[in-house]
This record gives sequence, C-alpha cells and structure tokens, in this order.
Amino acid sequence: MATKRILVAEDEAHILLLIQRMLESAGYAIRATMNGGEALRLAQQEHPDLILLDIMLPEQNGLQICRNIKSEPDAPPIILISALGQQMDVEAGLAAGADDYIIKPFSPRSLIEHVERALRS
Amino acid sequence: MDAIPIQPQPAREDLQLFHTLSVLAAAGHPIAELLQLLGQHLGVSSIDILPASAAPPPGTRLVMAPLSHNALYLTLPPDLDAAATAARLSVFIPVFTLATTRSQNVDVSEERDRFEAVLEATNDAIVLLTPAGIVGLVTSQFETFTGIPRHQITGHPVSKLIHLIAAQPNLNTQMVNLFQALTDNWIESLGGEFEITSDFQHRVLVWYSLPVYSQGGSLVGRVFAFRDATHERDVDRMQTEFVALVSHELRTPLTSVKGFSDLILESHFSTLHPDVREYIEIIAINANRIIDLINDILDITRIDSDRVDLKPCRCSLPAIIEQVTNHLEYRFKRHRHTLLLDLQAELPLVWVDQTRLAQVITNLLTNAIKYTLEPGHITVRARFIQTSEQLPPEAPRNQIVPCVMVMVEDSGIGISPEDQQNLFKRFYRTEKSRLIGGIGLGLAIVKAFVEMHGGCVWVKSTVGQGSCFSFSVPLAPQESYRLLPEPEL
Repeated sequence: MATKRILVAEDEAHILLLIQRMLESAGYAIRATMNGGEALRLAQQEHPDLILLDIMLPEQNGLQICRNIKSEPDAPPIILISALGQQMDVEAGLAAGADDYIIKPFSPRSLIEHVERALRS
Repeated sequence: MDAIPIQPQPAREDLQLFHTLSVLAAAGHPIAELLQLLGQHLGVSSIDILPASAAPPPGTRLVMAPLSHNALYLTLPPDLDAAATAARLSVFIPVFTLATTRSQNVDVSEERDRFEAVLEATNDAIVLLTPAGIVGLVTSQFETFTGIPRHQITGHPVSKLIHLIAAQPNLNTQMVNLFQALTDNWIESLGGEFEITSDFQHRVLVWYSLPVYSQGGSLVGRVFAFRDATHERDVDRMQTEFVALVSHELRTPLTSVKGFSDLILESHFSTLHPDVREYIEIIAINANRIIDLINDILDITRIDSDRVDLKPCRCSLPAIIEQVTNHLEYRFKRHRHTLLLDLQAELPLVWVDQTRLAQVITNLLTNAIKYTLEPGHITVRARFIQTSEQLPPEAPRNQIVPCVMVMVEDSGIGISPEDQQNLFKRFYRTEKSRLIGGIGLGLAIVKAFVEMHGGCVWVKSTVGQGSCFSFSVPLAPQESYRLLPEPEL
C-alpha cells in the first residue's frame, strides 16, 4: 500500500516539528507549512490523503481553509488541531466541515488514533 | 374658667374674618400670624396654641379645646367678658383645626422629601406604583435610563407610563412587559436582567419588583427598581475572556512540553538511561497536571458565567464509565491500584451530557487514585434506584427517584467530618490535598455538573477506612415509565 501523504499546517514551529516527527515515526509522508494561504494552495495542487489544520494561521485561518477545501468535490478528510478547546470552538470547527477536532495538547498515541480513523473513513 | 355658651348666630364681621383666616390657613400661612390677627379682632391680650395637656400660662382666663392634641390659651383684658369671647372664638375653631392639620402635613411632606432624597442617593431607578395603579414616585435615574421626564408620569396612571416606554424605540420590550405583567399583581417578587440603549449608551439593567406592605400590613404599592449593571457585566465578560486567552496561550507551549516528552518516552524508551527516563516521566506527569489545572479553571469560569451548554442525550452509563476507566488505566497501573466495576445489569438509559458526565467520573476517580495508599482498591458501582427506600440513608432528602446512582468507593485515607462539610466548596483544600497538590476545584466542578443535570452528590467517609462519593443522574425520558406485566386472569 502506498505511503499516505498528510498535509500539516501549523504556525508554531515546535508544534509543527512535533506533529511531523510523530507522524513520520508512524510511517506517513508529511508536507508541512506554517502559512494558511500556502496550506490552501498545497491542498489544491497536491491532493493529500489527509489534512491537519491549526485554526489560528496567518493569511487564512483554519476554518476558512476548511470550508474552502470542503466546498470542492472529493475533498480529503480534515482534522483541525487547536488550543481553542471550548465546546463552541469544536462545534464551529465541525460546522466548517472538519471531520475531527483535536484539542492541544495531545499525546502521540491519540494523534495517531485520530489520523488512522480519519484515513479509514 | 367659664363654660362655653353656644352662640346661635355669629356676627357678620366674625364670619368675614373667619373666611379670611380660612384662606390664609389653606395657603399655608403660619399659625402665629393667624392667631395675631384673631387676637386683634377679639381684643384679647394674648392668644397662644399649646398642647392640651400643658399647664395654662399665668394669667390665662380662657382655654379653648380640643384642637386635635392642642388647645387655645387666652389672657383677656379685665373689661372683656370671657364667656362672650369664648362664644365668638368657637366660630374660628375650624380654621385652627385646618391650620394645625396643615402644619402636620408639612411635616409629612418633609418626611417624604427626606425619603425621596435617600432613594435618589441609591442611584437606582425606582418607580412606586400605588394600589390604585397610579405612579406615586419616580427617581431621576429612571428619567436618565428611559428618557421619559418624571413630571409626565408622576401622579398619572401606569398605563401612561407603559405607553411612553413602548413609544421609546431604544427601550427593551421587556420593560413594557414587566410593567404590564406586574401592575395588578400584589403578591409576587420578581427580578431579572435586560439590555437597553439610553443616552446613546448600551446598558445592562438588573431589575427587581416587589409589593410593599406597611408594618401594619396595609398595601403601600409596588416598587420597581432598576440598577445599572453594565460595568459589572463588562468585568465578568473580561474575566471570562482573559481566562480563555490565558488558557489558550498556555496550551501552546504545553503542547510542545507534553508532546516531546511523550515522544521521547514512546519512541526512544529502550535507549534511555533509567535516570533520564525517570526525569522525563516527571516532566510529562507535571505537564499533565498543568493541563488539568487549566481545564479546571476554564470550567469553573464557564460555570460562573452560566456558559455551560449542557447537551443531554440518552446514554448508557456503563459505556461512559468504561470509557473513563480505559482512559485512566495507565494511572491505576502506575499507582498499583485495582479497579473493580460493579455495574448493575440492565441499567436503564440515563439523560446526561456525555462529556460532562465523563468529567464528573474522571474527577472522582482521579481523587480516589490520589488519596488511596498504594496498592489500594477502588470500586465503581452503578445502581438503578426505583423508590426512595432504596436510597442510602445519607442521600440528600431532595433526591429525585427513579434515578441511577453511581458510587466511587476507595480504600483511601478517608475524610474528617469537618472536611466533608466543606469538600464541595471551590478552592477548599484539606490538609492532605495541600500536600498532594491541586487547587480545590475538582469536586466543585463535580457538584456543579451533577446539579446541572438535576442530580445530587454526597460523600460518606470514615478516616482511615476510605470514602464513597455518590451521585445521581436522571433517567432518559422514555425510561421513566415501566410496563408492568399484564395481570393474570
């Protein structure tokens, strides 16, 4: 089976590195960006199997990107990853079309579980 | 002193003066002036008004009573006939009755002035409605809030006030509603909060209204009071926003601390020197403690600002309990505690918000883990309670049945009776919890969430033997009914 490609957009360098390392050690190929606008461009050009999006991103926030990508046919699954952990934040994320929502901080195990579940669906 | 003969027909000049004095009395002229005019007219030496019980001043030859509590005391020149003077004087008695009552009225209105000044000083907008439905009193703050001039409503029927409020586009219809709803209600005390725009300012008004009775029990009227709570609400909102912001900003660095220490422990565990492994485990545990703390503070802020959005649904309680215990498995292992689940078979579905209930059970279990000496026993029980006889004696009396009761029992250090009293108060910490750590919010959150569901929470504990925390949750709506088997014929 081909290696699954995951696009990760996160503007905090350390957290981006963390997610990247966690996913790489689980065998995924990672495309990383710290910019919202670039995340949207990469999503449209490279058609990743899964997108992990931070909400607070420069240029375009995660919710906007999510709505944009999900408005197109055959959109990949999207998981929002955010420190905005209130119930209304989660609901806003799911309303924007996200398939799942991870609240920071998270453990490597739970990140991998969420990713595997999203890729299976 | 002589008896007073009745004079059948007053003299014309006496009647003229009577009219003059009546007009002066009605206009509020001082009694002393009226007495002086009367004294000159009658040709007496002096005339005074004094309490009826007073000893007559020296030289008094005539006392005229009663004038409510007072009497007229006269000294006469030797040539004046006392009986004839008394007869003439009797014509003027009504003038002085009027004058003394008026002077008492002056006292009443002074009292009223003082009363209104006190009300004005409270800075609240106050409207007093008389039992007849007339606006009896309005403070100037009401004019500020509504823009309706006081003189347009004071002394007018409440319908005019309602009409004027309704005509103001910036006033909330709630203000109209509350005046309409409570105008003829002399029983209920009510209160609430609404927002208006007045003076181009957005205001939050807190209001209350109650009927007022005098000490003697007669109805004085209904008071409507409005207080500007804009600033308080702003402070509340800023506090909530501040906590949310701080918690967000703390989560970001914590994600790295927790994430990388977890990553080291999971991916490089076998290559680590045992010391390094232990140090990193300590970092990871403490990162988790900070995260728990942030979550607790966020929750309590949300509870305080009434922003907990409970989403109850039909849930299986055992499923929630198992989800939580799975999640905490590693903590049981680390502390070498054994967990026993004793969940009654075929429990009815319950009506709860799954996330909140999971949090309640998590908080109770983590407490049990913390306060039980290793290795200990922790048991989670769940029972269907159909009648109040099935409730344990320590359950609160207001417990509603049927319900499902959950008990988290430990073989821990126990809680003293004094601590049991205060345990559910926020920021309360026992001697032991100070040592173990925590800021005393866990049980306050448990209590708030359980009560939001309509349940109760209580504790039974013996020092040195262990504690049992119990809480109840309501059944899912359809589960409240039980079909009884059809009677056999």
